[in-house]
Amino acid sequence: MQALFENLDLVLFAALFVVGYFAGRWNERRHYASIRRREKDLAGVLVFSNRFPPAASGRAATRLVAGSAVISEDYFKGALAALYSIFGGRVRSYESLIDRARREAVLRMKAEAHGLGASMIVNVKFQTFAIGGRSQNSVKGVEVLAYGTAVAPAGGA
Amino acid sequence: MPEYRNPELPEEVNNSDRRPLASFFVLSAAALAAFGVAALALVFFGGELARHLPYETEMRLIAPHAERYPPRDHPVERYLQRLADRLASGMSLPPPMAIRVHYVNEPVVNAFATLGGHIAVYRGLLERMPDENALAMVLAHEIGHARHRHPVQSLGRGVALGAALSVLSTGAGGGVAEGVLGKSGMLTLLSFSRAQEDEADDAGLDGLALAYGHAGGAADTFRMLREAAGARGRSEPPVFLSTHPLTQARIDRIAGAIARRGAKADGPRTAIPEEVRRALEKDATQTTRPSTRSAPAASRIQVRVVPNTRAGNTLE
Repeated sequence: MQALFENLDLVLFAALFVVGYFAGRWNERRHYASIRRREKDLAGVLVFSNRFPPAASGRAATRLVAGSAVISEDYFKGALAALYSIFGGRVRSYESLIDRARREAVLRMKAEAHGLGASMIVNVKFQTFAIGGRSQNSVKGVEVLAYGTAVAPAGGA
Repeated sequence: MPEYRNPELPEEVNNSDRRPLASFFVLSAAALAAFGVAALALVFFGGELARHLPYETEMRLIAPHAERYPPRDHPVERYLQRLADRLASGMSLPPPMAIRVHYVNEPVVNAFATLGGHIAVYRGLLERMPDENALAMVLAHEIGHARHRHPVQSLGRGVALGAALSVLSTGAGGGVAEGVLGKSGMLTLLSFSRAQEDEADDAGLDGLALAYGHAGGAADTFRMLREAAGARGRSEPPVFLSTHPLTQARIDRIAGAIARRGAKADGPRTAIPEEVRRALEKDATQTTRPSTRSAPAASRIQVRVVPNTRAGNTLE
């Protein structure tokens, strides 16, 4: 018992590590399932990086739409990333964070456009912002903001 | 707009994290191995650098602890100090170094050398010594440690290890560093390597042979201590055995070292003065009488008073 208290930092690390791994995996699996389902549902809303809609679309109403998502790392991902930072290479544990944040942001933007009756978003751009991580032990998160111009048939928006 | 479609992107391109736990263990094993090598290097250099610490600095380190154990006017301590001075005069100690022997009135079979040339000898060990020659071997061995500055090397290693461990965990590393630098740990928890033991044995043999003209008692000391442990069976062997096995190899090594020096293997033995024997007996009866009344409590207190002598390294 005393040994437990003397090495409280190690015990704490182990606990956070285990919780981070299992909770993080479970959350990520659920989030990806939701992302795939909604991507199918909203496949009708097309996304373009072009500044203007295709010429054939005729008179249209336009409106700014945006979607933003903040995804946090878990303790396990952070520990793994710290190891990657020693040896270099792809920081694989953070790739899924960015991937989820980007796809979630697009989905929220698409949902907004869909609510406006638009079937395409043009001039789509992304911004990312790192949250936390200023102090060494803080848990890091990432925000991805997706925004663009929703194009709806005239009168629809 | 039937001519436009957003394709479904493959999942693996942006998210390749397929077996995170496996990569974690591979990477942390590699990091730990690298850390282990660095820690070993630190510990090695810690010991080597400590050897070059000026002796005056070592004295300053130990001074606050030494003050608590001033020389006592006790017949046993006076006798031990005289014997140590006689042995040390033949062991070519570096100029500022002086040996101070402390007699500890406890039944533990133990003796150890620590920083600043301080040597502690316990009553339990003295009672088992058949003659002065055997006792001289124990003292000369501890003086050998002091002469080769093993205590400060051990301290340097301990501090370096603590510093290295505190990178991993502040708790564990701080514990080690504190144990080494702490009040009681510093005095009794210094551990010596096998090579240092051999070095101290050699220096001790030289001192013994020079003082008595023969090396009688050297092998006896270790053989006697081993037999004492055997006679007591499995019930609590003397402290030094748990940390420092008295192997036949060590006894053979000592016999070989005596032969190589061309020293006489044995000769006339000197008895421990009767006055010292009587003082030891008096101390033994005075301290055991109350303990017969409440044995468990007394033995528990004794363990608590000298926790480090039981766990610590002795006669090493």
